[in-house]
Amino acid sequence: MNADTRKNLGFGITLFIAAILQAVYADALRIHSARPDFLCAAAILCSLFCNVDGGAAVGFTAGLLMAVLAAPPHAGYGSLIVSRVIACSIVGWLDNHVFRDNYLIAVLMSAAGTAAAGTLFFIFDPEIHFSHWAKSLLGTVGYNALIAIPLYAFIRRLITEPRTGSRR
Amino acid sequence: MRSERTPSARRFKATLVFLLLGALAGVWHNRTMAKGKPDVLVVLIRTVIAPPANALGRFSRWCSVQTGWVFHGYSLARENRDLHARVAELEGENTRLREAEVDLVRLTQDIGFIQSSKTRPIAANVLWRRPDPKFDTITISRGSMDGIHVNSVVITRNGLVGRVTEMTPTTCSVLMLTDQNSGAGARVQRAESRATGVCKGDNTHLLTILYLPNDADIKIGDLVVTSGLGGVFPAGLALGTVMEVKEDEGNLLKRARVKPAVDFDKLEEVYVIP
Repeated sequence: MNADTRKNLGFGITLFIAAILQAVYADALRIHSARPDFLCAAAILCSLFCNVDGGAAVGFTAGLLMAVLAAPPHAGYGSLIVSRVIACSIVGWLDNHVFRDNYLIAVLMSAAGTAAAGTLFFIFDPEIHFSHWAKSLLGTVGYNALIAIPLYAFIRRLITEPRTGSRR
Repeated sequence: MRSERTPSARRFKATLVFLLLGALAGVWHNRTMAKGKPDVLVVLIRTVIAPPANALGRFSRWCSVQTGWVFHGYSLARENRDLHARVAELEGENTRLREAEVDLVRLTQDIGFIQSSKTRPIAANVLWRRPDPKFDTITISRGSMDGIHVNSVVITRNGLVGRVTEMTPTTCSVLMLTDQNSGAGARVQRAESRATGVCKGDNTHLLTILYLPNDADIKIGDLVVTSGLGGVFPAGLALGTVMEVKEDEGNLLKRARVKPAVDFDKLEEVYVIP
């Protein structure tokens, strides 16, 4: 399988699994107001392996999936998509600026990307209560930093070509 | 100079296209929902995601039931589950009987309550709950094919859950009472009071009854039910129990904090009044 196809397929599988995990376990894993956002974390981490175009595409897919799952009232639907497109594009844009293939960077990016996506959402849809938004975002940022390591390992394993041939 | 700029502009062009697509998808979705029609994208994605999510949810619940004995003992877990179900059933029955008693005392017919008892609710499983912490929504396993429409009322044996906001042929999304965008006409059930207000959510575990008159007779422990005013929710559905009563600034109105009758964190099955 060609590397690009493998990568795209890997991103698709990751986002699909993240959507299902988000639907089934996000609320069950709640600690006070902190809930994980598997879809946002997966999109940010996938964007680490992309350029700005790829990041935008991944962000769009993740935003659309989240909007369909969450069924937000009023303007939340488009705002969810747009906020994730921007956050993932920024991560993709770092392609030529930062060395990103690193677990520590993955943790930091997952937290920063989630915070950026949440903040952008609040800017686009300010009808939401500030205190509720701030509390839930802070919790989600922490949670996403925690899940970044296994998620990053999973994505890396999925999209990297397995090494073949003997060592000799 | 020009040749150096072109690749960069092309790169951001793709991002702009996706941004535009996102904004258009949002506008398209809102317009379709306003017409009461299902959004094709939502139908398509939910058709793919709902079956595995439902299967995984059922498997998780089965695992949870099967491993409960590790912590509580098998029989204790089963007895506890049965007792919880029985208590919930009796509480629902108690609410209905008390409402019927109040009606008898007042010698009036509560039209909404009669309507709600005449219509046959449709049972549905909760497919997923609050996937995004910003919105208190659930998605259930029934849709327009079952006769459900936008603003259909969703209840449990304990009381009101919310209303349907969007649907596909096989699923629908429910805006729960605890969401800041939801509201329902509320009334204190006690015969001597019958104070009315508006029940609002604020994305916390409690509800708020707003616009209660300053002289409203409302006490801690009072049961609050839907008033039927507003036309969406029928009268007599339990909302919750008053925990705290406060006077608003200016002492013109009162507000009350209410503990919901429904445990929104443990919703597994609901009923829809089509």
